[in-house]
Amino acid sequence: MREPRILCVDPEVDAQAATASTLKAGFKHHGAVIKTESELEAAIERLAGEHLDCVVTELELPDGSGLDLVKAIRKESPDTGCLIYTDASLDRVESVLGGDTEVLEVLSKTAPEAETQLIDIVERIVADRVQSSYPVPEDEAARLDALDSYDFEQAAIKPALDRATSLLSQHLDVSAASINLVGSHDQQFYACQGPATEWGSTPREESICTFTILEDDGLLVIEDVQGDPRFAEVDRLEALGIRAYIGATLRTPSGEGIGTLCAYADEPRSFTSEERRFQRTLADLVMDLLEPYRETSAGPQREGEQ
Amino acid sequence: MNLEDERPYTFGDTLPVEGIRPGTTVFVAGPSMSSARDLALKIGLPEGPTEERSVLVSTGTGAEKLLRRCERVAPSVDPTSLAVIDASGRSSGDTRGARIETVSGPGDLTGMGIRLSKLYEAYHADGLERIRTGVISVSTLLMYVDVRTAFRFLHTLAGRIAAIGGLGIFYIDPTSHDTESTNMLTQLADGRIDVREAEERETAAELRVRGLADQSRRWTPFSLGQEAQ
Repeated sequence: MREPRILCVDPEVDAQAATASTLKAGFKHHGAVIKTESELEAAIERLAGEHLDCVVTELELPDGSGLDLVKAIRKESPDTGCLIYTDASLDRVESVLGGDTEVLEVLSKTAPEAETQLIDIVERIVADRVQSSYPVPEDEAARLDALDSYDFEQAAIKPALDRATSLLSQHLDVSAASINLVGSHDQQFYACQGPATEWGSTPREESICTFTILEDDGLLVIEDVQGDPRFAEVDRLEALGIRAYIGATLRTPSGEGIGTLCAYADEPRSFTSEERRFQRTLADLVMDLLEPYRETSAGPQREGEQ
Repeated sequence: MNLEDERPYTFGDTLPVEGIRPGTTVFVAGPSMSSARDLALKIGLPEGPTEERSVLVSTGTGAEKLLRRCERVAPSVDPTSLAVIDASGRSSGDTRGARIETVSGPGDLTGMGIRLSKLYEAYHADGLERIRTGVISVSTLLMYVDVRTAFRFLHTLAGRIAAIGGLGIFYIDPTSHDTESTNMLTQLADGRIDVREAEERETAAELRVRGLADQSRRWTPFSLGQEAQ
């Protein structure tokens, strides 16, 4: 596990210190960064400024509730996990929070072995990403290590990859194409053609490529993005004019999917088998181009650098 | 949490499903008119007289009817070893000593999560460490929340089940949804048991296990016994 960043929100000073200390001790081998806040607004502000893997919050805060905080997190930082860790009885939690569609994990501070359970739940949230709203590949940690083993900063490589996306958009007769790197929480548009040059990064939760890298055959085609239940609610895709998608996974020689080669159409459309073959072949070619920039000597053991 | 207890969860002698190790979550997928739902229920119930407990999240069926169904697929089951989180909005009636928790509806994911925590906590306090959790059914859930919210709920629940060394059984009717939703959801589990009804009336339904160790991957006939017919 990379060093987890955890925020502990509790209005009671002693309780806050106790929870923070439990978390610190529980994650000492991972060098966890533990931050503390006492109020809802301060916690939300902190979320806006830095990445957090997990927020552990009391139920009742001076300026709102733990549920308000969870809702803010889901909206602003969907990859941050949440746990309501509370002094209140679960009946009280139920009466304050019940009836909502928000997904919550709740643990009572008075539960048997509460501190052990706290560590256990937070570890699963951080390491196994159990609160994510999208599937994460089983080899996610190895995949991220593989992604980090390429030196994408090397400027010499980028023009060649831009040309590959240009070739793809011409061949498929679409306006936008890109090579995307799928990181732990977002994807970067690394090489682009057409409007994709303006797209910046996309959270994993709103990215189609998150699903592409899970496909066994390495290719995902969405003929009508708005008609697909996984993406119909994602406003960003509609705003970018992505109505049809074809993506091929960029796989390392050892099989990890580090990103995708994609093309986007602004109208629903299908893709022929020849176009699909072309897409895969070009994705393989992109990986051939990237091979000299892979640092094989670094090995798989890499310390978190965040 | 007694994570040292590695004894697999077992399913009696009649089902062609080998024991499943603690911490695992499995989808059971098959049409609602087939034996799939009853199979999910049977796998989700404590086996024989044991220290096991089951928590069943019932989204569309009232607790009383669900418990009758439990007795039909597993006549020896002790209702006092069962808890039902009833989201159906129907009155509970005779619940035969089972523990009933009611939430406001299938979209009340917050309420369900809290009730689940409460039950796990209560069992843990009583030294009961082997808990099966069934969601019957995910298809009803999807009528109330979108697929991503359902994914987060079930993913979180599967994480909790793994944490307590439990067994999770999520039933889905793939014929009610598009393939994308079903595939996305089933990706969050460790394995999947598909059920198909035999074409001939006299032949049994068949199941196939995927993604779990030490299981046959072939379509295998099964019967839930006379009571289930």
